[in-house]
Amino acid sequence: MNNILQILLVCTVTSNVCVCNGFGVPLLLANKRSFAYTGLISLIFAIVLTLSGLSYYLLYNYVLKPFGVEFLRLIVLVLLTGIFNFVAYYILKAINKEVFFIYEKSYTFMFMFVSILAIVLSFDLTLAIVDTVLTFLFYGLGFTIVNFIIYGAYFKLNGTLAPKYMRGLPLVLLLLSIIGLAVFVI
Amino acid sequence: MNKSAVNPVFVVALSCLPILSITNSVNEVVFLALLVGVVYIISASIVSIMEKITDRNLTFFVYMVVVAALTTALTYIYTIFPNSIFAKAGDKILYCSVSAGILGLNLIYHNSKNEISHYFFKIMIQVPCFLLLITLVSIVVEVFGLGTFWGIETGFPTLAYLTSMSGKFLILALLTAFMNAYWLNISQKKEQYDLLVAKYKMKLNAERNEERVKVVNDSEVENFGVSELIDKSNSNVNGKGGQHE
Repeated sequence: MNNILQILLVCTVTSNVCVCNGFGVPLLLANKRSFAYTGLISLIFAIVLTLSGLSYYLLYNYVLKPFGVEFLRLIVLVLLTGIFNFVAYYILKAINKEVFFIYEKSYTFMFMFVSILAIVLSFDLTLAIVDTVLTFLFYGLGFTIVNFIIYGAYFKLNGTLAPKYMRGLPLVLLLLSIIGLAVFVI
Repeated sequence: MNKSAVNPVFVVALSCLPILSITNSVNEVVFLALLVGVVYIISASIVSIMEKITDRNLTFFVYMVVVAALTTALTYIYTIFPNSIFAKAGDKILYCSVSAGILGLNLIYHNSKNEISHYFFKIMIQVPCFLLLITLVSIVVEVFGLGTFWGIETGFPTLAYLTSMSGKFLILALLTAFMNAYWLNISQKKEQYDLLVAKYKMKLNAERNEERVKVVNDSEVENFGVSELIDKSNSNVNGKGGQHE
């Protein structure tokens, strides 16, 4: 229980994927059309990240390392991330065409791909398998928290009061900087 | 499906984040950024050949596989050069693939002209802008965060906050806003120029059409009553216009 709590605090606060290392920032710029859509993207991200990370962990520790071909890990990771992203892409296409249209139009596939790639690359592969699963799940939770904070401020960030050249990414980065100072203690 | 265009300045700024998160020194950042540029140019050139025959998401996936293969080759090569900056960078070279992936956004998803020359033009603008932005951020971080430049002590007062990710977000946000202001100014002037060109083209076309109508009317070719119909509709319009007045 203490271990789970420790992993939860580390993944959501001190090693948050958006605020502490910036790997999840590209996906924060996905379309913020509605609360439900934002939640859906966070859920898809958490699931795809967990599946990609876990399969990479297993392949690395039980296939690549024993055979001495660790140098192929980046190619294996890109293939795994691509496969799981495509699975999510086609499942969403089959379930709801309207949501898929928004997903397709706002580069979410590509942003999710690179974010997951960066997060899994930085992951410590010496952990136990249970800790690995929990870590990736809580990374997804940490991303969800920051995503909803950004959602809450998004329409004010991009409103008419903000200067034109500050709208979009500059204000998101400023907000992340303030969140990092105030909440995540980095 | 047509996607909305992404601001190219934002794409360049996002691609700086993976490299900035793993290192604080200018020499490492510049070295990794140059590797990103090389990997990006070679991968985009390879992928441009197969753009017309594949779906865009699949093109991006193939692009990432090519980027991963090139990055793997570069990390393998570093073992040949011991005691060099290449060797010190070590596993950080793998993060170049993430930056190169983000840089490929505009090229793969929003390529309005499917020509190799258009790829070349985008590469010649994007890569120098990326190198400039990431170098500026890393200089500010190292000089004012660590008190050194390229490993040499500068004596400036330091602020450790700038070496954290929060500080780097702040510096990147301000520099991105500055570049964005410049980009918006250029794109506004380009839009005005395009509108002016379109206006004069329409005017020229209207004058040419009037000349063609005059040539047809002056000729003695049978027009099957079309000119009477046109005259009748013109008189109806003028009559209604007269009534409104």
